[in-house]
Amino acid sequence: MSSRNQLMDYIKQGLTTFFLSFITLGPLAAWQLQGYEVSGSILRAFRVSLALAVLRVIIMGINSRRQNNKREVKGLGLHSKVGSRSLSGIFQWENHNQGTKLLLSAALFVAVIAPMFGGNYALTVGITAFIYVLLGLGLNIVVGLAGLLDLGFVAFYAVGAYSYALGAEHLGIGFWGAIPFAAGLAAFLGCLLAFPVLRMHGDYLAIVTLGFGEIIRLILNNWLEFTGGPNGIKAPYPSLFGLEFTRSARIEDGTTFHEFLGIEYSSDYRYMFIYATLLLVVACTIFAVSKLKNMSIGRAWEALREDEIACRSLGINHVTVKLSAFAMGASIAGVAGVFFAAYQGFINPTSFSFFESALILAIVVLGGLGSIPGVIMAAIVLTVLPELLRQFAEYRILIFGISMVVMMIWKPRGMMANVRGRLKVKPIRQSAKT
Amino acid sequence: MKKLLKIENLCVSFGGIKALQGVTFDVEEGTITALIGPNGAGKTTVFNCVTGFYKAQSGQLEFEGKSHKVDISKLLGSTFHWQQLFSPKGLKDWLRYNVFGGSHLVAQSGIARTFQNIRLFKDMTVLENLLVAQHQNVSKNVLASLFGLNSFTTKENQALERGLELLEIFSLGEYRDRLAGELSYGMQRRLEIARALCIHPKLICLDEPAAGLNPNETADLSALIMKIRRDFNVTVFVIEHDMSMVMKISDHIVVLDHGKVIARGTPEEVKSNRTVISAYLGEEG
Ligand SMILES: Nc1ncnc2c1ncn2[C@@H]1O[C@H](COP(=O)(O)OP(=O)(O)OP(=O)(O)O)[C@@H](O)[C@H]1O
Ligand SMILES: [Mg+2]
Repeated sequence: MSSRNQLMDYIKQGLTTFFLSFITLGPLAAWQLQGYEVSGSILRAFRVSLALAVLRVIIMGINSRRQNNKREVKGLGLHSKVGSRSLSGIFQWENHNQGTKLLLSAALFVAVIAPMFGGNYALTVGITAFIYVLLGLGLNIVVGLAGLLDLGFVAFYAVGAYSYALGAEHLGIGFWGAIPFAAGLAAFLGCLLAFPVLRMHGDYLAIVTLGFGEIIRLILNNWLEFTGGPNGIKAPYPSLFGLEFTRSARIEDGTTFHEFLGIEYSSDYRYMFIYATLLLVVACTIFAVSKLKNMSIGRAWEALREDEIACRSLGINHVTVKLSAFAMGASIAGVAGVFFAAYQGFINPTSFSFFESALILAIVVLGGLGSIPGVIMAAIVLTVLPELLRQFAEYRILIFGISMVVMMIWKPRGMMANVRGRLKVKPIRQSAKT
Repeated sequence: MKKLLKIENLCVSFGGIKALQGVTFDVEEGTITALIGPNGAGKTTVFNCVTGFYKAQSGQLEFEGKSHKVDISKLLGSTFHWQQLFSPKGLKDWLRYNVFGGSHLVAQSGIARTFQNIRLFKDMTVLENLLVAQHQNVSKNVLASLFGLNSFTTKENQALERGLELLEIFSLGEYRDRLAGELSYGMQRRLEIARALCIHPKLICLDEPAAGLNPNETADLSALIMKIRRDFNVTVFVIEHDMSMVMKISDHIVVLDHGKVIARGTPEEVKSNRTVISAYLGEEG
């Protein structure tokens, strides 16, 4: 009986979504720019709306499955002894308010459809924005959650980028192999940095990490034979199932992407590929980080930020907690570095100056320490706005500085302050209690 | 009765200040033992040694832990001997205790504490404070948590449940989603005790739990301390300046002055002890 109700619900929701998107998105989706002419096709609008409706139903399905998975819990032996009010119910964390959820899904939607309209330029801006989203999410773990001020975060980004370029040259590691390799190497370096700073806080920690970032940059700059020094190094373009995104195959009798599909060569495909993979990686990272926030390790990070001594008094091993925060943050930055190198095709130490670290820190602070949606927002704003303000290129840093100051006065906790999880306990219905 | 904690000849000095000079006493299982003394007598220093935050220069600290007997000073690590480089076990122990070691191992062996100046996780909610403390009981498997597997949710739910129950017992139930830093002073004190209980301790050390509370709240707190001793099966070791409370709840009192134990015994014995009266209680009457 309830399953039939559910089916009706699905159909109703699907139809509503279909009509709503047909009305709102229809005009957008139907018109297509071809050369200098605009052509309309109602079929296209129809297809887009249908896809959205199906998506909506799938999401509903997943949600209802999750609802069923939520388990009822009975009280422990304890409360019967103490005689407290019964606490049986269905527990459910409420982390974001409805608004942020909507905003995130809207952002995701825009990210998915933007390349269809924007073309090559929008893709490159999008890729840069996503790379900074990744960097922001990584630093957010270290600074926002664990409260360890890291001014040399760019070092891990550099390690990621160089491990892709150098790994391809010396070890023959491809794009897909480089992602875990760079993540692992950056995490290892993160632990290495964390050891000497275990007993440091605040200012001292900031100075040491600043030094670490500079050391990495100087090594990259001065170790000519290995890293190419200031002249930089070429990073190979990415590949998909061995298909390269170059005009002609790099290796003997290799196939390129456009040859395989039998289409004209265009650099757009490479950007599109990087964009799509990056979007996937960003989505996975957001998912993982928001899950981690609600499990023991994430809570331990936050507790460490609040009070390290109290953590120790509760049996939390502050050493491993700090190491894990540094390692997690660093590995995310490493992955971002791989994408940066793959997208640029060429890297040199100037891309990894202290200014980058400062920018990433600004993203985390502006977005709101510890707040995932805030960091995403800030990363996008801080990378897309300069593109929109190209006319005022000379004043960019000035505008950036002023907006920073204004933000900190107006909203000291960031654009979207971290929302603490609220626990909803739905009481079990009377019938369930026999 | 069984001795839960044995302190023998404990000496601690900070530069020239001799904070503790050969302190010896023990805490028996199931009792409420109070540690009293004038300001600067070294009470908090004793606590810090017992919970592994300070390392004593000399002396023995033995605790009848959850699983086995532990030597608290050993958990805090020792100076490195070059011979340790050649014995794998020695090296492992050194790494374990010196690099990864410290007070959290003491806590894990069953000693919980609160602090003289409250140390809550102020920017986290009341309930989250209790969840952090239960990190040992929740699943640490990242994959299980990412995909919301049963092994993760079951343990997570148990932790939630215990947290909620503790909040009820400490009458903080309705504040569970408030930030801990927003609570009133008395509530913060209670929350800190609840948080300490979350780690399933055998011994709970309370550093001046009644400081800053009004007489009514102090009376409630006394009742609460008796209750947790009974219901949670813990031994309570408490530092307190409020004499009426100490005399009412404690089974055993240790009096400290200038880093030395000047008297020990039941409340009656201590009350009538001449040294104590002249050093400490005398001021009051
Ligand atoms: N970390 C430290 N560094 C230097 N001196 C310290 C330190 N901790 C305690 N002391 C000194 O040790 C002595 C004992 O201090 P302690 O905090 O144990 O006193 P207390 O009995 O808890 O006093 P109160 O009743 O005021 O809390 C004091 O003289 C204090 O200055
Ligand atoms: Mg004290």
